[in-house]
Amino acid sequence: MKNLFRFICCGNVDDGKSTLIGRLLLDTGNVKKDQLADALKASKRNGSDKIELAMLLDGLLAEREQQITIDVAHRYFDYSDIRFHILDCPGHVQYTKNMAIAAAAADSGIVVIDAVKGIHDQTRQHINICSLFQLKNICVCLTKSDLLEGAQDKIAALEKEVRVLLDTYHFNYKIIPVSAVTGYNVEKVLETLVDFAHASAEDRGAQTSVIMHMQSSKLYHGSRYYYGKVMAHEPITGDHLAVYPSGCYVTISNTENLPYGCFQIHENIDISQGDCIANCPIIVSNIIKHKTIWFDKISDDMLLKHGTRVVRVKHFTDSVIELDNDIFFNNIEDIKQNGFGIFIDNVTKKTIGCCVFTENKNHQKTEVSGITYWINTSDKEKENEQLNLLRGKFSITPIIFDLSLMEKTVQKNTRDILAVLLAAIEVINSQGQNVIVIGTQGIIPQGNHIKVLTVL
Amino acid sequence: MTTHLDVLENESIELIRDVCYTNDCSKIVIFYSIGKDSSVLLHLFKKAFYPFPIPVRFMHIDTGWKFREMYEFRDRIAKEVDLIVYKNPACLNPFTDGPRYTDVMKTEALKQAVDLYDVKIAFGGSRRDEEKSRAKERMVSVRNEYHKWDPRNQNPEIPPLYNTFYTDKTSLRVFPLSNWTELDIWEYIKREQIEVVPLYFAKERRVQKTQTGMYIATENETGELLKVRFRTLGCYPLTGAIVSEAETLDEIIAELKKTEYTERITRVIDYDTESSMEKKKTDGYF
Ligand SMILES: Nc1nc2c(ncn2[C@@H]2O[C@H](COP(=O)(O)OP(=O)(O)OP(=O)(O)O)[C@@H](O)[C@H]2O)c(=O)[nH]1
Ligand SMILES: [Mg+2]
Repeated sequence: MKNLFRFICCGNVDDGKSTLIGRLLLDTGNVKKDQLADALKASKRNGSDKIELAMLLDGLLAEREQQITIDVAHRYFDYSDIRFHILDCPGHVQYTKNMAIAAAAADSGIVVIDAVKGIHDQTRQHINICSLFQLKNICVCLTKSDLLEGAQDKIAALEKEVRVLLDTYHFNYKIIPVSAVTGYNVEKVLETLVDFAHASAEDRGAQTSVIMHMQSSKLYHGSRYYYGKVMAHEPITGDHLAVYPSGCYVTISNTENLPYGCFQIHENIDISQGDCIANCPIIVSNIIKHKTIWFDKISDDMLLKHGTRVVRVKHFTDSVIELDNDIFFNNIEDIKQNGFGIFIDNVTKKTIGCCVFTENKNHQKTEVSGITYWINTSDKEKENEQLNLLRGKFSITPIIFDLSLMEKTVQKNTRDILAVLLAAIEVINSQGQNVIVIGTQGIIPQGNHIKVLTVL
Repeated sequence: MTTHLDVLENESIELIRDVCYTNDCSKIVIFYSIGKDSSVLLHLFKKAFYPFPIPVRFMHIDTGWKFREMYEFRDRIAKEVDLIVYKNPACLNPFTDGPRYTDVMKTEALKQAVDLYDVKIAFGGSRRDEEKSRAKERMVSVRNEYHKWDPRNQNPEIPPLYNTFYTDKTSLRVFPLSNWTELDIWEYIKREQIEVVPLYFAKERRVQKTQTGMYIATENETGELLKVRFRTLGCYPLTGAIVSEAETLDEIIAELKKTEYTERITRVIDYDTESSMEKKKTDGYF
């Protein structure tokens, strides 16, 4: 029973990223004898009599010849109760695109800074990209500290500089002086990664959004099976989900013994390829605010792929894109997995950019008019916990809802509350009223669009 | 709780469906090598489309020099799935034709089969932990019109937004097991009770020592009887056996946790020069 945790190792060219990861692998006993022999052979050919640890990662011929990382190396190892998937990035400006794609896939990051040379423009660029892709936890390694033996003040000064820089972001970070050559503090880095892994597993556990983009639906012996790509959680039997773009609701009737991302529903409704189902608000739009990282030249004829939709780009500016069809997304700051797309050149079919959706408003707004209150627990702490979850989900002021609105038994678990919430919205919508729900007595928001109807 | 095996399985299934649902399935094949990774790949394909049958064909590039047990296993699988077997009519011999054997019977054969059956997308069971240049390859990897891989200029890839498009001039290789390790494969085989070729389990077998000190299988009576198993399977003259006591899945898993070498050392083809795998791949080898 291991948790999978993905982290990148990034930072400026030659600052010592691959060497540090090589040291990490070596010290945790994750380098096999034949790999070590191979790296030693390559080091010798490059004129070194000792092993260059970076050769454990830099596996391409060109990388070994130029002693530089060109593309991401993927490595895997088990430590504590965690399966680590490391993505060792290139630092060279020319290969920033390869760093960016790794950052998009990672949970957290190590930023390596050469303690002698200090912060470089490229270090800042990588930190920006980490922030763009919402990496929460950053471990800054001030490496090659062996070269600064005795110059503690220099390290302290750099540490201060790093703090000033990182405090302008929202990271949870830790700064550790290390040496990949002597192994100094490598254990600390490992401990930090373990902490990060646990934190990100907790985050994932607290997440309750169900979002799926549909891949296909097919009839088999009279029953219909739906297949999709799971962006956040997979639905479970009984989940009540909104369908985009149709706007109707469906209830999951079966997921047992079906493969990942496959389900059946009670209703006789067509959910086609490219549609989306969710238990949380989704932005539906063809005009989208974004930030894009380009990997290649921008093209006149471009496609955007997001979820299971591929749509043509009609108009592009640095801040807004216009598509020829709607997509179903979230802002990256709200739900990372559903918050970006890729640009594909329609002629060469190459991936030429990654487009991050940010600061978009949900225009399908449901104005709040009726508010009721219900939380089925006597435990204050649990109640707050559930409310925080709900609030995180809807990124709106607290909403409250009333059990009497629907004939449904509701259990204490949050997923059911969400189901009820959606059901409530549907019920009240069908009665011609607009509603959004959540809250406890103590935190009922004031405002003219909010009215407290019932407090149980 | 979701374990790393669940995550890996889910990611693989999603990639498989993504590629197959967005492309013409008649242009897709699954390269089936009869080995453990192929067995897992087959299992994942069955799962991905359940309860429907697998919508794409399997393809085995035969050399005529596989183990007898592999052929038996393959012929049983062929009753379950749509399997194409292709063999280069050149029919070279690994004992007498040297390095040319692999080039012609594997790399060339593969290109011929891809052209013959008009394949634009080929799935394979390779993993990044197998070899240092594979560790750098995309899950959806582009090949040019000569089937060549350009490691220095790969298409940027951001899972799970795979770019599953190809052009007249390109084709794709897709590796759903990229992020799996050898240990994951065995733990998954155990968890899912997947059938594999019996050669993976230790048994007394007749072997002979090669010049490089490797044990290869032989049917010759003069061969030594040793308790061995195979960590990888390929052409028997090019596949090294390891001395082992691991007769069960649990024993294989325990053995792997302690092993000091990667599975690569049992393959003659990769072990001759420092970056022979990368060179073979840039030439069009799978
Ligand atoms: N003295 C000392 N040298 C180091 C240390 N870490 C790395 N180096 C040296 O720094 C040089 C660059 O190391 P790499 O690990 O290749 O750097 P990198 O950041 O991976 O470089 P790119 O991936 O090409 O951006 C090598 O010559 C290493 O030997 C360290 O802790 N101490
Ligand atoms: Mg490097």
